[in-house]
Amino acid sequence: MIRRHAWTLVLFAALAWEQPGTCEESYSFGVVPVRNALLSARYWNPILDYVERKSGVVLEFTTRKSSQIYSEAEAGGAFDFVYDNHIFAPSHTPAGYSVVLKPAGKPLHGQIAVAETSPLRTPRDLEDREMGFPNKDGFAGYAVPMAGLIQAGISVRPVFGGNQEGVMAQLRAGTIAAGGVNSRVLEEYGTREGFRYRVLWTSAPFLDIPIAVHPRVPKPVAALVRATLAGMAQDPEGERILKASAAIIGQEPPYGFVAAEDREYADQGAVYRLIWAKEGR
Amino acid sequence: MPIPLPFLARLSLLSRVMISATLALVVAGNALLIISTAGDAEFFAAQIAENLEGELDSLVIALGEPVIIGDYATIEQSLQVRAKRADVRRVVWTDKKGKTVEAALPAAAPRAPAWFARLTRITAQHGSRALVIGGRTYGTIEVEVSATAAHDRLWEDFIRHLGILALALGLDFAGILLVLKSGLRPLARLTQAANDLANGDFSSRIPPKGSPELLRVIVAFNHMADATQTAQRKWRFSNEELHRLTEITAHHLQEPARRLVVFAGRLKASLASQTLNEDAALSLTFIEQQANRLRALLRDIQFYLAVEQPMGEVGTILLSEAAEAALTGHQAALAAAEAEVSTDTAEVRLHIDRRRLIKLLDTLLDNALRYRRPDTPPRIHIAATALGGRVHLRVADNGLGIAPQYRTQVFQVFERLHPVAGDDNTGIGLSLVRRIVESENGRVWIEETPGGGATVILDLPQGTEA
Repeated sequence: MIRRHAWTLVLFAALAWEQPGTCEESYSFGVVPVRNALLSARYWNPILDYVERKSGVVLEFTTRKSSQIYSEAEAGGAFDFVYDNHIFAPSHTPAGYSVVLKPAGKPLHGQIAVAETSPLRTPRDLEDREMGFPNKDGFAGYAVPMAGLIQAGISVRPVFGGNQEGVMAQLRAGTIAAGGVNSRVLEEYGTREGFRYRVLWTSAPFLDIPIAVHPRVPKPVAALVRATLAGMAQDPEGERILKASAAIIGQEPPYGFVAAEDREYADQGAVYRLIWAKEGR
Repeated sequence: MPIPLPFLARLSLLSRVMISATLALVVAGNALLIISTAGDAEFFAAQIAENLEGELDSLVIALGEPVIIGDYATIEQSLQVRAKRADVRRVVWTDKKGKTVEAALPAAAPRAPAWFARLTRITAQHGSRALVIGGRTYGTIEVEVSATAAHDRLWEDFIRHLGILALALGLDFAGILLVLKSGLRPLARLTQAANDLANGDFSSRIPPKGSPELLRVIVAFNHMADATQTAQRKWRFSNEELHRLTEITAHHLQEPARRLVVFAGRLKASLASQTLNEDAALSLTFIEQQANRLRALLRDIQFYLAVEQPMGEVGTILLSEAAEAALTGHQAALAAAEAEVSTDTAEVRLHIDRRRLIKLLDTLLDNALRYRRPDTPPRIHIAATALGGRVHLRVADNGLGIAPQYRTQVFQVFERLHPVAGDDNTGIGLSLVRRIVESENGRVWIEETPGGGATVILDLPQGTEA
């Protein structure tokens, strides 16, 4: 642990020495709207402030009204940094985002969930029923469960709720039979909102949503941000901030981020390509 | 307890009660109105501050998501929705780069007048709140809450309360009017009954109806009337008895007196040829004189008793004619005394019987001659004036006059102040005058004549046919 801290500090010092001028510019930090924008801002802003304080890189929290709108903007390379896994969709490949970090902690699963009181017991029961998804570019909320359903030969009528919490709100209200969701978001939402649900199907584990950087961002800046976020959980101040942010959304430990590479997310790209192929996109 | 304001004492009880009740209601009502309006104004001022805080709090929540997303259409829409609220005058969102979105609706015309708005001391309030999400400041929300709605609501309440006060005043007026009018109605009956009693109708009574207080007064009045009627009956009975006894006595004594005079005369005539000693002669003269005096006294007493009633036909008589008749009766005496007589009665008339009127003047002329100054020719002036249904008849002389302390006493029967009156004076003259005058509901009194002497003044009702 001490060695890790030491390496981080050395990296900080080296990058700061080499690229003092990069600290003046601000960079957009796009967050896929898995939750409502307010909650996301309350989660991310303290973290981005920490990055600014520690590295001097100003990151502006940015999101969009819905996952679909966000996804389209992201596909066009609208954001400098992103927290999203839509970047693995074929439509986003031209934007050229590359993974720099992944969240620490449990992997995520794509899940199909129903309300606890629902009479539906197996994914088969979903045949020809209305099922909610965040949007067509969603990974854990759409691509993964839809791939599962396709592989199982189950046909559902998709209804799009804008973001993952929107789908869960619909599920809670009983307007849809089941929802395709990210396991972590579902868990956090259930804890936070007291929503009792039952999971009909769970996918194989996938790495949680990554933080990626656009090619236009200077590499020293990207490296500085990466190092700062990667070392955050080891810094008492950073850890405190991570805990506080996690409490806002009901996130469970471990907190923080770990350096990651594109190749670690190769399986997610494969899922997207499968769906794209099936849907003829 | 004395009434503090003298003018109030001149007002009727009804007016006084109305004024005091109205004053009390107006003062208390206005105090209540002012206090409640001031209290409401404080409440509304606090409510404006609370509304301002509430608007800012809720705007922070409402604008959070659109601000984060950069959805200016939603921001503008949210601000416009706020600006449409009654109290909100202006809402402004300024982001950290200085970009501003503002919503303000034109202020509605205030219903409350400006002076009232000033008195309430409620003013528009302005507040701002930074929109901070996750420790980051996204901009500032400014809200201005207008005081116009509060002024209008206060004004409406004020007018409503004023209306209630006016209604209370009206009901108060009507209530007092009804209660006092009906409650004081027995007082009118009491007044009528008291007048009836004063006019000699001793049977007048009031039905015992009305409020407990008035009932007590009515019962007391009826009790008083009962007692007065009983006393009056007793008095009239004893008076009649006395009158009858006096009449009978005078009548019965008249004959012995006449005989006494006759026999005294015959005795004097029989003894005229004889020489009587001085004592016997003096006694005989004294008997004759006293017999004559007794006879005159009895005659006057009978007349005194009789003059309370008209002595003949009652009619309208010119005072100048009556004065002329009286003067004619005294022509010789007046001439002997070298009296100077003047009259100024114009066309004054009096409704009375002729005999008593002449008797009045006759008695007064007789007194003027009888009590003249020995070395001064009498000067007698008879004057009369009529005014307001009353006749003032004045008989003034330049005689010996009457000292003020005796001017009442001389109207008593048999009162003689001066020895100069002579033996033929019975001392009943002025009492006779008083009895005639009072029987006609008049008054008589004596004043000093300017330059000396006495003036007898008679105040008499002119009478219905005069």
